[in-house]
Amino acid sequence: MTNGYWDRVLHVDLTRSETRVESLGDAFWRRHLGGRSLIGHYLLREVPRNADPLGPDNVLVFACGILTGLPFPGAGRHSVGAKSPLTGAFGESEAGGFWGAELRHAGWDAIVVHGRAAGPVYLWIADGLVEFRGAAHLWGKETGEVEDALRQSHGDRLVRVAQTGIAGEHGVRFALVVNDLNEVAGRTGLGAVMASKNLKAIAVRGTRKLPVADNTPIQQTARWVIDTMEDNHYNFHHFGTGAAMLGKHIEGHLIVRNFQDGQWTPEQVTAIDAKTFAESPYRQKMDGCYACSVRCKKRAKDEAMGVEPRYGGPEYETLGATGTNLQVDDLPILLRINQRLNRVGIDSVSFGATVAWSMECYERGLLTDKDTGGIPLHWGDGATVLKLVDLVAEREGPLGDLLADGALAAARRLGRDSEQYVVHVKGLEVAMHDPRAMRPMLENYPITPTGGDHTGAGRHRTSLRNTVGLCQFLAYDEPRVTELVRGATGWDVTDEELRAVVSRGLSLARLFNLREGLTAADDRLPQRLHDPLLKGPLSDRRLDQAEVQSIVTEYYAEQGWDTTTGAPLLGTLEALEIAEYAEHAPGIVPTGPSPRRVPPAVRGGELGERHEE
Amino acid sequence: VCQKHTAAVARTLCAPPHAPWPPDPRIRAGSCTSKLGGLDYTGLMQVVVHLHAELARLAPDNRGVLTLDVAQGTRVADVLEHFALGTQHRIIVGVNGEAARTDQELVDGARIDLLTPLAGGSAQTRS
Repeated sequence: MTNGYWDRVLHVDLTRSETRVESLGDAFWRRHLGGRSLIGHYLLREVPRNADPLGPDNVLVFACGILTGLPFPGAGRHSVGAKSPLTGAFGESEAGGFWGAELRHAGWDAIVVHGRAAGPVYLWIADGLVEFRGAAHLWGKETGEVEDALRQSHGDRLVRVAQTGIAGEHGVRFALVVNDLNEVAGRTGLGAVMASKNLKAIAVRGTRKLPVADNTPIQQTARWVIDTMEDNHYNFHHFGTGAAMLGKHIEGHLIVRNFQDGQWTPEQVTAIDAKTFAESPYRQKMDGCYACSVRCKKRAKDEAMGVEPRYGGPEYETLGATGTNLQVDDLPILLRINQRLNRVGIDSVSFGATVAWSMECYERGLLTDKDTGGIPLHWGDGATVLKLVDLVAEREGPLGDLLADGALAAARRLGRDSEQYVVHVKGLEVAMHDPRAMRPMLENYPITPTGGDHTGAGRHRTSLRNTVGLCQFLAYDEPRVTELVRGATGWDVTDEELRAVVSRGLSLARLFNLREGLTAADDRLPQRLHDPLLKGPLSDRRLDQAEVQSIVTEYYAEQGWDTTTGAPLLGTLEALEIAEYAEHAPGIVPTGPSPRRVPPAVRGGELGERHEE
Repeated sequence: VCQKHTAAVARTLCAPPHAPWPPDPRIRAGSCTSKLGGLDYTGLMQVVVHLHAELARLAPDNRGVLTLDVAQGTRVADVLEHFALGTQHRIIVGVNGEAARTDQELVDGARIDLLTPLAGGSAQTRS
């Protein structure tokens, strides 16, 4: 009997309408723990080199972590991964809500989706039952309609639904996978991958209790969060994200006008921040993910505007990407934009960043009315931004079609030297935190396997959470995470062993990226982020490229990768017990000893090997 | 310590385990309402302090906005000290919407914004 996991991965072959169950074995789970590392495992093994991200050869992985679905705050997270149609690189994104926990309660640790169905289908999972169901009636429907229809047809309002939206159906390269209507695996275009497989949704109902070795750390942690709420999670609990955006303005690193300005006006910033929202009539309540007492999720409501609480409320990233960055200071219209994005399934960060690029190009005369189909693009024009959500989602008109491929592809299509205004890393539009001012982002963006993703996790803390299925917002220190893993599994894992697990996931993702043609030259920041900000106290500073290079080189060394190419060394892979993956990235791994000393993940060989049912 | 400087609040702001506890004893009981330093400065100068997010708990009504009567020559550091937000804290201070130094003198009618550094929602450090 395992603890903390079922050792059951569901493989779904849409081409053949077949499923199979894979048991990876205890040793595998201890080495990888789920999430990021599991995605790396399957992308390297199952996706052919140079596969079309929107073709049947790509795989779409829904991966829980070893802690997903356990009854304590922060354990409602799961990962989604595939080769990204936006970047062509390692695609991964995490979501909260209830879907991941429900999947685990149904007796599954992960789902790997292969191939492409002949027509629209959805997957119905009820504990051990797995069925393909027709989804022609759901195709073209908004997310709320889809969830309503699935809950109604299965007669259970607790059915949890992960789905792609209208944007995914139209191949928008930053379409997302949304679950529970307001929780999203937002980055890297995974919704487009899902739709390319004609998989509209995965509906899950689970009734099983996940066995754990020792419930004590789980119970203690749940109690600790409640008892220390006002000390540790006050802002999240009362406001959610985005409560102190004015601080970014004052310090001069607010994201404004496509990362140009650094400042807006205090009045405009505070007009849209989470505290203003909390005190406004638009806030219905705060809500939470599975088992979470922090309840940091906003629920917006306004009947006159048609804003429904079930689509949530704007997170900081959305307030930044579609608010400050586009200079939209109208909170009601931002609520409508946020809802619209969730109804059609679009990542707000890439959307806002791509629109910002287009507005800057329009301002500079590089994008004309002829290119936009007569739509003027001006900073602060919230009504046009709202309209653009639907144009992009359905690739309608020249502008909708242009922007639907993301900022970098749009710039390359437009030409006219417009690429210099794309703020991206590895093709992924940079999130709403400026690395010119925030050291953690400076150290994260260049080396994160997914690109310009603030939670894409190139560093230990964030990577560990994306691996074990733990929310980034919870104020757990590293020893507590270790205790939780020990409690869940019964293994005598150490902090050091978890560091090795994180390194495995990062090395697997790195192997995948190098195999798909990325190089060390992609581990950089765009020119815009080396330019001084135009306003505020940081306007006299310039971020040197040498500083970024130094961070990247040091990171390579820390990971046991070649310090020039960033390729994982064979000795590192051997020390991490993942040398067999080198064969899935032929010609990538240089021979050489690793500078790392990695403890064996499994001692004594008493654990089982992988097999398939 | 005034009634609004509860132990829970102060511990949060002091970023344990490095911060001293209890907080600065010079904070007088009831001092949140007005008059820095225990002197009668009424009529000399008024500043409006906006305490954002978690810092709002330092204001009497939890709404985060209060008016202080202060003497000529009062500096940003005095305001921080008033709220037990000494140099050991990473507090963002804005005066009339612009970044302020701790030794900066206040002017009559100034708006002072006090914030903890947040990236989205979690505390972040800046280079």
